[in-house]
Amino acid sequence: MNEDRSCPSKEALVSALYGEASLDQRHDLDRHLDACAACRDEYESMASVRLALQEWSAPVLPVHFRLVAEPDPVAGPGAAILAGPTRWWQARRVMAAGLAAAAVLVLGASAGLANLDVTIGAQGLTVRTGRAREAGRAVPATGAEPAAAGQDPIGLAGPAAQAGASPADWRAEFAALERRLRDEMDDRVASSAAGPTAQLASTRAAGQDLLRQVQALIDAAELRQQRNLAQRVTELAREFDVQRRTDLVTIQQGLGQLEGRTQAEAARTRELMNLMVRTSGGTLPR
Amino acid sequence: MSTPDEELVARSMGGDVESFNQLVIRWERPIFALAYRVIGREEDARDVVQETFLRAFRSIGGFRGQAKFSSWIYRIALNLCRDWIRKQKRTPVLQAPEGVDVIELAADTGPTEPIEDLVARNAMSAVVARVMETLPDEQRTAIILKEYQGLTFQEIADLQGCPLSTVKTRLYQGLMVVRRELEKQGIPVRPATRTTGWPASGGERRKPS
Repeated sequence: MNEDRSCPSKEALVSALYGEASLDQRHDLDRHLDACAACRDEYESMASVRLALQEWSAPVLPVHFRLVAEPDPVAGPGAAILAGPTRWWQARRVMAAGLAAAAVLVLGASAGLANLDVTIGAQGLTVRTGRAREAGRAVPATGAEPAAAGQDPIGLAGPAAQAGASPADWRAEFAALERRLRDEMDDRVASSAAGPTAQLASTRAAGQDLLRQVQALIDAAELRQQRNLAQRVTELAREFDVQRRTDLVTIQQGLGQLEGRTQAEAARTRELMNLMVRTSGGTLPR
Repeated sequence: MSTPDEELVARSMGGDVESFNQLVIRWERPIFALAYRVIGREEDARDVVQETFLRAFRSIGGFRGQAKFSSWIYRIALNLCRDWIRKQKRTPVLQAPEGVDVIELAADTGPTEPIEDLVARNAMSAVVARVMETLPDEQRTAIILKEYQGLTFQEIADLQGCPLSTVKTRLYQGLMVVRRELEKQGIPVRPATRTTGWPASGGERRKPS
């Protein structure tokens, strides 16, 4: 094939096959194919392969995607997200905010769970666990023993604590220290101007915004999950329906075969009866 | 008459998201069909489609109009498919179920042909998909772009970054491999008569009205 000098090249065959040959080239090729069985066979085989390729169907895309404009001071104008069923592509800019929010949430939740109390004073940084504080508060009411060593305030370096003083001394010193630290903190807050207060308010507002964003993300995720679930349920129902219909076809085929066999059996029986009737000289009842 | 791509692109460049959405609606199916056939997995193909349009929107300012919008977006999609295949570091795996595509079989519109024909057609689809997997990447992509996306030889050459003659050679070799593999699968490829004609390429590329 294509070894004869007069035979067209494979590129020429492909061009004609896909309708990109010029009219003259096409006429020349047709004339050649009429005369050359080898080239004709090759050309027509390629056409058959093309027919077979048409059987390869792609699924229909179920959901239209849609860009949603989203004003963003960071990304600037032109920022947008693509709405639709999502996975790894999910708006990265939003993801960054989500990560930050998640980090804040984790920190907040951790602090909340641990019930930490962090104070800064003349003694340096002091971190207390909630259980220690609760134990401290419980002392006046119940007179219970102080918290275990593992629940002791971290960073306390008072003389009583260092000398292994009695629980009552330790409690008194602890309460005094706490009062002093709280007083100092109060003084500092009171002495500071309105600036830090405003800053605190703005920080709180930013936190609220962050929480709202996180809530929106969670809502979107839930919606997505619901949509996916609904899609899966629909697919499952369809699969079930197809299976049912396939089974019905199988049963129908089985019944057809059975019917054929039954008819064949009946015919054989009739033939046998005919034979018996003929040999006995009687007549076959209708 | 629908707005030409060029006009929608121009409006999109001016920040008109709705115009870009019209381009998305117009081209998402061809891009999805391309991605599905190249990487062979429906979910991942869908992701590729979304990422393609996201990238297109972000970089539409850089679209100079030397090429058609379709060629430009095909290039983005093909690059993403290539990245995906590289990440997977394995040959594409067809998601097509054995023998029968149940979802298509149970389409809402209901089958318009006997179920046996549907089963046979889906089985054939899976066979062709498997055969296409055996092709080298360049040949497979060339066949997909020509046969299913209806691109011209020149457009494929531009996308694949090779001479026109190379595209034709890839198509020829690819078709020969497909023929051989189909015969291995027990599907004889008998020469079709020239008078019957064959399907026009590019079924997926036709734009929605």
